[in-house]
Amino acid sequence: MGNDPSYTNQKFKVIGSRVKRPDGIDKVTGRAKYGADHNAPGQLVGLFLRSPHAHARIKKISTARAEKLSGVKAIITCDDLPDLTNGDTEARDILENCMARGRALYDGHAIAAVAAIDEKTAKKALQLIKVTYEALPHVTDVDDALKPDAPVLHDYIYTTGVEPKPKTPSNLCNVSEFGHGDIEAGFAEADVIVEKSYKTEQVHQGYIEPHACVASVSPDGTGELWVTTQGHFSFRSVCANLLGMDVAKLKVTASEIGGGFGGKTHVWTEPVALALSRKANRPVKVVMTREEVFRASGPASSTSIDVKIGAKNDGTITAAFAALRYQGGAFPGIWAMLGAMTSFACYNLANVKALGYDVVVNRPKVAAYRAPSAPMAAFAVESTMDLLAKKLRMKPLDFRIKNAAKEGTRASYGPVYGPIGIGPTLEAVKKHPHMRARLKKNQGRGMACGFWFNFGGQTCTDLNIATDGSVTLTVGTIDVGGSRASLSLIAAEELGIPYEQVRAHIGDTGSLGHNDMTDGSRGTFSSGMATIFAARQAVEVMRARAATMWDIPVEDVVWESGQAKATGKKHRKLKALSLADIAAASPNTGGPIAGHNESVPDNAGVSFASHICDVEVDPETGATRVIRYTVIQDAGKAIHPTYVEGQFQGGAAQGIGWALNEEYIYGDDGRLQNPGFLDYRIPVCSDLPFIDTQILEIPNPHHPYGVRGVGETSIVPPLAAIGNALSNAMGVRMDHVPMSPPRILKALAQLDG
Amino acid sequence: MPMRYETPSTTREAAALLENEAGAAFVLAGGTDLLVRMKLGHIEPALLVDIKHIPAMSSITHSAKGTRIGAAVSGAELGEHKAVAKAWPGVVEATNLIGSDQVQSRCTMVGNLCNASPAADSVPAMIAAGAKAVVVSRLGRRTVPVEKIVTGPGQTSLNKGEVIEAIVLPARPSRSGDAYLRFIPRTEMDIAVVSAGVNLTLERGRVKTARVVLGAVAPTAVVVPAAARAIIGSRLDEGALEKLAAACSAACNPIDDKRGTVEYRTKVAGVLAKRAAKIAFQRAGGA
Amino acid sequence: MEIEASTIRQLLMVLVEQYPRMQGHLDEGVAIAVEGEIYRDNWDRVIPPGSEVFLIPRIQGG
Repeated sequence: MGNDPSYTNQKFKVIGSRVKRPDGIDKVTGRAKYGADHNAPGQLVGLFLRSPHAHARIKKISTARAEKLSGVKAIITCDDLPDLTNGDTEARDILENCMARGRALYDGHAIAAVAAIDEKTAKKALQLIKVTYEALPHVTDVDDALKPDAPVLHDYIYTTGVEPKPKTPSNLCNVSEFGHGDIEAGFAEADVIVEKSYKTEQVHQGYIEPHACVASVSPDGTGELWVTTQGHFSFRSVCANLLGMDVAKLKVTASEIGGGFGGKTHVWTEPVALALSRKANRPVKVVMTREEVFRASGPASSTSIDVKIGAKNDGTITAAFAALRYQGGAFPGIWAMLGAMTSFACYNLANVKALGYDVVVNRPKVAAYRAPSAPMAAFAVESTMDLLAKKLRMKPLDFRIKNAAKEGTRASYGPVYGPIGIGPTLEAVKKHPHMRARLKKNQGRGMACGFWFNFGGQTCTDLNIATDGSVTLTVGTIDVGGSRASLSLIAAEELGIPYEQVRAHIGDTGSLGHNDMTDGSRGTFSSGMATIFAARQAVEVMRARAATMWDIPVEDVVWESGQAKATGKKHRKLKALSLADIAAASPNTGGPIAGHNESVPDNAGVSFASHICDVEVDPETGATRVIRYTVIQDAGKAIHPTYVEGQFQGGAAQGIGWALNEEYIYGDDGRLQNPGFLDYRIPVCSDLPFIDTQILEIPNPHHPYGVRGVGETSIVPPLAAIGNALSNAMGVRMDHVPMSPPRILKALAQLDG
Repeated sequence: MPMRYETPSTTREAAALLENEAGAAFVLAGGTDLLVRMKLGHIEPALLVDIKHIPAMSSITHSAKGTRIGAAVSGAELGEHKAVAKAWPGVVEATNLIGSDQVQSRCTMVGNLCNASPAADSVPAMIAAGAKAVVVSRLGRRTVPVEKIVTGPGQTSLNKGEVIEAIVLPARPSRSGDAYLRFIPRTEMDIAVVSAGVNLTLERGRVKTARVVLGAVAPTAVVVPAAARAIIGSRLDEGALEKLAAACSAACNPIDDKRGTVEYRTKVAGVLAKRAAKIAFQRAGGA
Repeated sequence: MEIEASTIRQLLMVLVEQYPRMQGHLDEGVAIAVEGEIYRDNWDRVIPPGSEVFLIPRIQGG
């Protein structure tokens, strides 16, 4: 029957129910094993020496004294990690980010690493390593990095995407352009034009679990890695390539994950831990401190964005333009490009142009963070949309509805949309009681929209039926938000058995073919589709086994409600065989019963969200409290509604923190001043209201159940929704994120003055 | 060299241990600052003197003559002492703002004081209350106003071999009230960006005596006599409050740092002092 | 530009033959939108006659 991904409007028995997650009890009782919870016999402690300079030449690293310290088993520097990347610049950047090669490029850049018998010895050894630096001029601000007199980080970066090709290197890696139409003509047609510039500071994903791994490399060239990751297969490929190992000889086992949000799609200490283990010939455990997590892993770009939008008096947008400057840390990235692609994706625009400027600065290498690059672009665009609506004397919601993209709209990033959810989320906002709730003094309400692509990717899934009729589902996508529950529901649905009869596991890299990471909101979409097909294959096997048991042609067997039934009058005496009956007989009907699927699900379905937010501002202190928040988003089909809501709420919570308080603060010396949760202020529970959610289900035509990715989009609108709410509360337009109390108080003072 | 850990049963004994140690010696009360610094590797003590086994440091006595709070009394214990919480609500609420619930069960006022952070929550409230520290050494004891203990960030006036045994709060006249407010960007789990403690006594509806103290606006907590003068004699009318706020802002000598700006701290110090004064006034029975 | 191809794989082959400079973009990673549907990996996808095909950069997610 083939594996057709098309949506079929199937009637569901268990899909959409709110079952308990299989990992729940272990997680709340502390039994679940996270990255730091694994231990190996003879394991050493691995620690890193990190640069105290924002930018420096490393003239000499003397490890002799540290090597002599009793209990030290290995010390490595870049000399122990030869460059095997063979022209792959992306891999080379990862290698250099994991361990500096001649230059420290940011505060916290790894310079050397030690493996010793205990932490105390390893710390002592770090103190004994002598590094001679020659400090170099540094730049940490994205706009400063583009100034003509800025220190140039890399002599090999010549801006791409511009004509003519530059003759000198600079910090501008690439300029990307998206759009269509003629914006000059569009602006000429406009009755009203609003132009404004914005800045957003650097934020970290803020996962509670730090990066942690146990690496073990054997002299025979095989190795094992236990690690907290969003993609153990990708970690395997990257680490094996950097270390010159055969990919299949490195087994990577993913631990439970205490949050990733994109930050655990990248390797940081793992290749170095493997190199330490290889040199020491002992397992090595590396657990980053929180300070290391902030200084040397993760963050999202800081940005500087100009937006210009013009409209006719009737509210029709005639042209939209954005120039988006994103810093990717010390290495080239595609972050501004993603910002440029997503910036105007919510709207139906005749003339649109977005320019993305990808810039390098002396900060840690930027990593993906939940709908990477979209929240900052949305902050700038959605703030400008409100400003323009105000000038047009239109309600911001009506202005957005009038210009919303719909099926057939050419997206600002190129293609033409199929069925999409931006219009329905806006209509749902209009109907939502939140929009009519009364506001008090110093309170204001704002709304904003957001977009994210979502994608599928390589997927490989196994479904095995035990002889007692219970089912093991083995998937290769990390469970970051309850996917084991959702995927078990899917298996139960297809097989017609109770959810409790299915146990889902994340297989290690030795048990399945390659799976791409859990990113791009793909976990439930991709592994869900693979689970459907694997289950359907198992059903075919069971039909055949039932036919064998009955000794009738397989064509006479149908599968209904978890049972094999013989069709036709001549078989009417044959009693239906349950999955358990067939499983019990399997040893003598051909052996184990299984279903497999290897595929590349595509078209995870673009997703849109609209958020409504009420804030209350203390005009004397500038403190802002979010007092009510509503997320409305298209999920395609919510397999497990609780975890869809959890994704909506989690994204909104992270967005609220980003909007109000989170920021990397660098000193003039280029060093990060707040590498800890005390001064890098993610929201605590009491900072947030209950985040209300409304799931819309506009089926994705490219998934049998209509599933769309849901995990990322919800972080896109909050920055702008809060900025718009603040503006409506206090009459000040905040153009700098985070909209922290000092910035708000300053803006209020300027308003008075 | 291994670290020594001692649990003396008298304050004198504790003082002697500290005096006789040649290496880095630290007093361990709740350990909510000390253990963190040790774990981060910022300090490597040769000696820890745990004061939690000293009876004189582990009790609260409260009478008409005054209140004595032992140096090892936790924030949670203080918060549960109804009579002290009634007499000195500002001091108690300030102490209860230190850290999370878990930290409250360990942390102490004296630890908060001797950690000598400019942003310590209990310190401005203690100073506003006119609290004194009982300082004990091998040779004797002295009583020192709390504002004389901290001399700068991380620095105290205590000599080697001296340990604070208790905090003493004066007798509480009727018609008195105190309050402490801090500004933090979050709702909890944060450190004061700026703070204010106000303690006052009323007579015939007017402020008779007052003390106003600011935190996190200078290297140490700042007593602002001009702010007190601004409200003494008043019924805390808007004019008096404005003068109080102006005096507080004028007394600020803050820095720009990751937690706040000079401009912000200067302005909000006045705002918080006004609000704290209003609460203290109300608690004192003022209309 | 107009290209004769019945699958994404064919399209990419023809594209590089006719426009060798495209190879650089393909090496950096692309996704292919066929009539608005985005394909990153499934290059067996059949392209109906007269389809609009868009090459967009291969994106990263969180």
